[in-house]
Amino acid sequence: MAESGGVDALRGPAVMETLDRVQAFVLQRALTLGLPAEHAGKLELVTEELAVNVINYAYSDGQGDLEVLCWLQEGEPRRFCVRLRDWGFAFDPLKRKKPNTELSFEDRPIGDLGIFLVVEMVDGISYKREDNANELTFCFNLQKYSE
Amino acid sequence: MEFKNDKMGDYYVVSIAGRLDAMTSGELEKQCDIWLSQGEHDIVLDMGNLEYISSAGLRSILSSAKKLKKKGGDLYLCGLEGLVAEVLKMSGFAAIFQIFETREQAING
Repeated sequence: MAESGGVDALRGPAVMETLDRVQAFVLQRALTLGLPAEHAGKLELVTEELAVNVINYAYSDGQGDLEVLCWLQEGEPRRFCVRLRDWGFAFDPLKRKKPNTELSFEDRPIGDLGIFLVVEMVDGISYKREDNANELTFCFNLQKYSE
Repeated sequence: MEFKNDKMGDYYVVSIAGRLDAMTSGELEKQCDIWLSQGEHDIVLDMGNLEYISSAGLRSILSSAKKLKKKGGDLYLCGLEGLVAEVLKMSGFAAIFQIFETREQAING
């Protein structure tokens, strides 16, 4: 899992006002490292869903940080990877039950789609609890876009 | 986010532009309350100028549609492109909403 170009990080309070900054940072790094612009929307969506989860749920008193790291992972295929970290209580969003997207309009609950969309859009995602932090890492393959 | 409204026959056509995300989705729900207070129950949401949508946006669309249906109305969608079309399809919304290419087609059913 070689990394090139170093790891860039941004850390700030886990509040809604930080979301714009986090999205802009991830997008800027992704475009610099080779993610085609037409995939920017997907990356923004995935970043938003995961960051909003941290902002809304990680800290019971609303006080704490959110950190985002970006890097290019060499290999086959090359990947642009992002890791979100928070120091709230342990929570693996990937363990949430998958929503039923085939329910009728009447039966469809409002909400619950964020993590589902994330998992559908990324090329890889994993959760780890490390040093009292939640670490959620997701990657987008770069090769398939340049082929 | 910007809203532009046109009355077309029995329908209220609302063009939504910009980003429908965690920061802005509350605005759509507020607009929906305004439409209802003005007696507008059949809304065509023209998403042709919507650049971005996340799950918070989907939530506000479903919540608005449920409110309109309770009053005997409905929410019709049109103008879906790119990421917006993809997200609506992925979430299964494409199957539970009436979706049209253009506002004219939405109005003529």
